[in-house]
Amino acid sequence: MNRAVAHISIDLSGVRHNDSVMLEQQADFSTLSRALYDVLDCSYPKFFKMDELSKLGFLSAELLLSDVAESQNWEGSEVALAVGNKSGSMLSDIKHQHSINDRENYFPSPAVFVYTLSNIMLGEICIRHKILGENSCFLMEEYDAGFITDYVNYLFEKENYKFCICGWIENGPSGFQSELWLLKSDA
Amino acid sequence: MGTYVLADNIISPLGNTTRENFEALLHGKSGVKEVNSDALYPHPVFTSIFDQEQLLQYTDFLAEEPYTTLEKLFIASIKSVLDQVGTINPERTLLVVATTKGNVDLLAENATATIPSERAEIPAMTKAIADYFNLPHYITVSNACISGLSAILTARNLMESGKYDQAIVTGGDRVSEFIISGFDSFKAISDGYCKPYDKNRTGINLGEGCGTLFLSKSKPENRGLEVLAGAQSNDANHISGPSRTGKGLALAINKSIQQAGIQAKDIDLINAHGTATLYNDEMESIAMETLGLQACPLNSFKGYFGHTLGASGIIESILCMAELEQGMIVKSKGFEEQGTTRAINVAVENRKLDHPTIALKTISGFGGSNAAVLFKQS
Repeated sequence: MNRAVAHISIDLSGVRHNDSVMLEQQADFSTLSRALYDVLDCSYPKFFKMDELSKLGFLSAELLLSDVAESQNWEGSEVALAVGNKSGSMLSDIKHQHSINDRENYFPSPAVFVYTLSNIMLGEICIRHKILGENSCFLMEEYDAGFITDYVNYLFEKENYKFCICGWIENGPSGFQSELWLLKSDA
Repeated sequence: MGTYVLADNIISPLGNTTRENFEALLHGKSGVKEVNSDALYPHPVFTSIFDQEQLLQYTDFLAEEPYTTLEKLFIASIKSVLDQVGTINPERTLLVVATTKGNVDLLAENATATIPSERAEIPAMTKAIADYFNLPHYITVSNACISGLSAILTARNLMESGKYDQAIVTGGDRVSEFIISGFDSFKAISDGYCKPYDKNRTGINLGEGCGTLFLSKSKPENRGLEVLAGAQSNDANHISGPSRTGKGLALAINKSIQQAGIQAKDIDLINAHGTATLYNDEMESIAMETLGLQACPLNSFKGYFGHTLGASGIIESILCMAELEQGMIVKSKGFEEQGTTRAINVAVENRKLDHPTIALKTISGFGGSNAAVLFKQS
């Protein structure tokens, strides 16, 4: 079996880490992300190149692992990620579409296009925390905790993972919300 | 307990059954051609796309139905496997949809107004497909290029967990200006036919299509194909380029080998990703050498279909299993002269193999993801 080692949640009403409130209500995602970046003392210049979805994913994982000493030197191949999401990369999709709408003013950019994939946020988390295991992005209309739980239990039981980051990371046209757990195997 | 293949289907510019597609491969046919259509892209581009007549023919029973072309392809492909399987119990069946960009073409300014733009959101697309078949349990996997293999592994996981007895695993994507312009901005598109693993390779061809597998916990009487093992990994190196070391891919393959309880030498053939970009093919050759797989017969199907994104993992797995069933390896189209620093055994012609039983399918993609699946024929 496995148990939760850390938990976070982020939305417009604020940022919570385990049992404490890190940030109170914020005006919008841009204000919140900047404030949280500062609170976490990130110093990670690549953050500013990320799209909104990856920024939320990055900050969520950063906060989740901020007190977890084991994440500093874990065996990357023993760590997996399984995350749900609704809008995929819609914010970046719209941005890329905007750059190709007008043939007279055509400016598609690799820096935007690369973020038109919802699993890129997981790639960013893997780079930052040296995670080498599975990283799966499941799209669903709303957070299906039962599905994610079943899936992650399989990863622990049959694929021998020691840690799994799982939950929900959504940042789309109708708002943002994340909730993540770090689970650890008891085996 | 295993995960067995009961039925499969491929709809691509090369045909709308697995058999038609496999025979096209045996005859060296490719869906890739030079397309010079301003409606698709401002410049000529080598890509594998359906012609209109073909699309209408493959989805004629849906002509009046309110679905996008991609949704129609999914429905036609799923219908084909259900027709092969017969009655199913929807309560014990999971639908897993793999797609990279879904209905992204609905975002274009010239998109048809008949389909609500909400269907550009992938979960809404999946729901429309599931509702057509009255399937209550469904999930979408969106892991960029590796989505197809991720979907097969998702189905296996949930079936082995006891949640479902059967799964319909389907993958599809279309070629649109959205993706051509994006890959082109990366300078990743070849200006001719793609040449996986070749010395003169210059990049990918994009392609479109849909593939579907019907998986079951019970072994059918007439077939002996199963999903033996599989694993996924991340390079943790770069979001838009493969690792130089191949370690991530090697990790996924190695985990699969261990899970299956076999050794690398037991693998009889490999269908790799082989996109024909300089870095991907080189990375794969390093991973294969690291694991001692350099002598194992290997091919890429990208020369026949182009890179079909979320569909590729499913379409290529189906054909890889067809190779096992036919006891052969298909020529890796576009390959002439070794173009990777590590020697790998790329198939230069269609060739009989001596009773192959285990095939390895690999795939890698944006985000640093890799996946490997082992298929067994008994």
